[in-house]
Amino acid sequence: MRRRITEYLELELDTERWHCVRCGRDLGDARGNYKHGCLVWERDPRDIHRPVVEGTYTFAPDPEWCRVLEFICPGCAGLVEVEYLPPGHPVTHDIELDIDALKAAPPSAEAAQ
Amino acid sequence: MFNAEMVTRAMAPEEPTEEEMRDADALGPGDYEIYSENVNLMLQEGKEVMTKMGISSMLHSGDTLVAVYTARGDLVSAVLGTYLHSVTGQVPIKFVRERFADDPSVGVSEGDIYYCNEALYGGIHNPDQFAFMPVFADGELLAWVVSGAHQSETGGSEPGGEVTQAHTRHDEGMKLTPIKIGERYRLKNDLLLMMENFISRAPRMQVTDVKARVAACDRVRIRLQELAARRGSSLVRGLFRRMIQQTSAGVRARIESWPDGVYRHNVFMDTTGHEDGLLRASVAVTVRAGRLTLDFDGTSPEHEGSYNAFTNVIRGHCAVNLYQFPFHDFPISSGMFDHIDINVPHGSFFDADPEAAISCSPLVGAMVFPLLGVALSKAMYPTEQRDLVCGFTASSASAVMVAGTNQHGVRVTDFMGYPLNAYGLAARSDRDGIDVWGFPHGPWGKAPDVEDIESEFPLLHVYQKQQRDTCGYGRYRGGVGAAVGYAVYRTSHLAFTSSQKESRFPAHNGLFGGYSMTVVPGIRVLGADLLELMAQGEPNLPTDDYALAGGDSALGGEIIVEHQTRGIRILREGEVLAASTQGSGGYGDVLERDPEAVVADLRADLISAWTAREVFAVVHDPETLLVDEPATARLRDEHRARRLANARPYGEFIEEWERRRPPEAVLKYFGEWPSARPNRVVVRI
Repeated sequence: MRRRITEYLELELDTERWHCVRCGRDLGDARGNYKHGCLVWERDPRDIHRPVVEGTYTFAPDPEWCRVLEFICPGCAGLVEVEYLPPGHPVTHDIELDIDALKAAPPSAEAAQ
Repeated sequence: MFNAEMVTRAMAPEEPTEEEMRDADALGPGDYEIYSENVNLMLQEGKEVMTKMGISSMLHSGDTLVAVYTARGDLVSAVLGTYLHSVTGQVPIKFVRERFADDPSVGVSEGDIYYCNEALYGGIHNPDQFAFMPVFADGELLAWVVSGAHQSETGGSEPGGEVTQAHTRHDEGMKLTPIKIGERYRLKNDLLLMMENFISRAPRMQVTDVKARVAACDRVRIRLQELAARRGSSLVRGLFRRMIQQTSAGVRARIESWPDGVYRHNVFMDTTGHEDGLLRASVAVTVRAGRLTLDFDGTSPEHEGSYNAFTNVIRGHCAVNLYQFPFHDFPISSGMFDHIDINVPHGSFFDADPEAAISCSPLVGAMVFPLLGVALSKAMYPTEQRDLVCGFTASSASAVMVAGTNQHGVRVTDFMGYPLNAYGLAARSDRDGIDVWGFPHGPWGKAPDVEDIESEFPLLHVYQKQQRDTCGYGRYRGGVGAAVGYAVYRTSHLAFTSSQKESRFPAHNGLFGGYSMTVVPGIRVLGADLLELMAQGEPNLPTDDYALAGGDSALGGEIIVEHQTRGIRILREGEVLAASTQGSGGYGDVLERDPEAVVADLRADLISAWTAREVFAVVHDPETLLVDEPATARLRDEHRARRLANARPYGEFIEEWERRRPPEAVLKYFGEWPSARPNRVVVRI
């Protein structure tokens, strides 16, 4: 049985695997970080937030302080998640579900999609 | 003196007494429904009294609370204002009970009026001032009433209450531990004079607003005594317990419906208040068997700057998220915390030493808004609370404070109420965020009209509008922020400070592939005379922040673009200051946004043509602003192909990524990299 977890992630509980909602692509072990199954594109924040003036304070995040990591589904090239991190900062394991508890619990009406 | 354990304990609910449980069980049919609403109306009446009597703009714009607590100090219900104070109001009550109730030199008696503004005793920062009164019925303590409001002057080393250049508590002005300022329902004039002496920049505002707070408490006191006389003290006691029980039971059932697991998020702050520097705030939200744990371990160490907080500040800010989103439909009572544990690591900038400067602590606590906004949204998405999924707001949540003599010859010091109430709200799972939404700390806040500001302060609005491209992009975009430009008018000079931040690093992330909002600098223009240009009929005046910062007008002068956090700056008549706010985060993949919604935003000047094409990949006719659908489909395919061409498998990426780090100067206050554990001694004199 698959359970929707985020806008773009669902869990196959029987096989304990993450999948992309859009294309069904396997994104790895459900007990691990789904980001490990994604492609990662590191972007200069100025490619998304255009600077308006020159100098230190430009209306765009400072690229020496802040990088944008895009976690991309290898199957459909859809964005799964984005993080704004200082260069080299550990990637966040943002969703670590208790898979055993999830298997034991009945899904709510909205969750069982 | 200060007892951190007592503060933490006081914020948690007490065990109910047998008498309370018996009285709750004895409530008759309809009693809860009728009298809980009756209590809320009493509190509403109290808040109206305070607002009618008070004069400071923060009191009027809604940074307020009137609340009722049990005899032992647990929150029963509140009318707001801001959720912050509902939680922290318990602490001074419990402190007085523990420390002074049996002290013959102080005591707790009918007609007593207490007052405090010391954050160590449960407040948020010393601008937040509280009056509180015990309520007696038949000679027995029945309840406490608290009224609080932010006061925009504290007698600190800078005007405005939030002293951005403070190093220690000794720079921050008046800090009253809970004191009795009245007995037998009469205020003591000697203590009011003491406050005037502390607050000499705005003495009239101080004393008038003290009286407004006390009047609010007293009105609720009268109404509660009337109810007790009519229906008996047992009904009031039982009602209070039932109101707490309702929240407790509802919160537990809701948490039980969320998937057990750990949901983490990190956000970053780009200043200590004194200088630019990178600090991290972390949260791990654990959901397990109907219990919620919010653990802020991993947050950067405290520092010598002004952007520190105490544990009660962080708990108060958690309450803002929790009461506003997942548990918005339950009574605002202490019952919520029956099922929630909060760990704030001592020694972090979330829980600094008592000597630390904390008058800017709401700016620190506001890091919790995007932290919990994102982490709780990930817990709620797979549940029936999906409609409450929202990344919330940026963490800036403040505004410019001005001080000077106004056009009427009166000394004024206050926050600028419009920008304070004009932050964007993040996108949700089915809709865009709200443009220029409000005050993150208090959704009931009210932005004053331009005319109100111009009649009270020596300022002329150059522009006040939604600022394009300040939102986070996504399938649904976040709300944009506001650009506000003021010229100094009808006074020789005016001082201002600002405790806003996020000028180099946005403290958000967007949600589920949405982008963060962008950052906003501080802008001022010196040596220019906008008033003279207006008198000459010059049409080419700055119309928004981009034009002001870029010099795209006839204004001239020296344009200074700096970090939003600023100590005292002086402006002369005719010079210009920007006081702008941020938007909030987007939701979902930008390439899934309806192209028609993109051009609608373009027509409304909420995004630029560059953003429409380069970020949303929408091709449109620049004259008609009509979407070219085939060209848009092709461009979006190209963007997806570009993603695949530029992205690398996680393992390959992470190997190189983890060898990098920001420049050393940026990490001065971060703590050890990347753990953020303390790595230096903080010296305060």
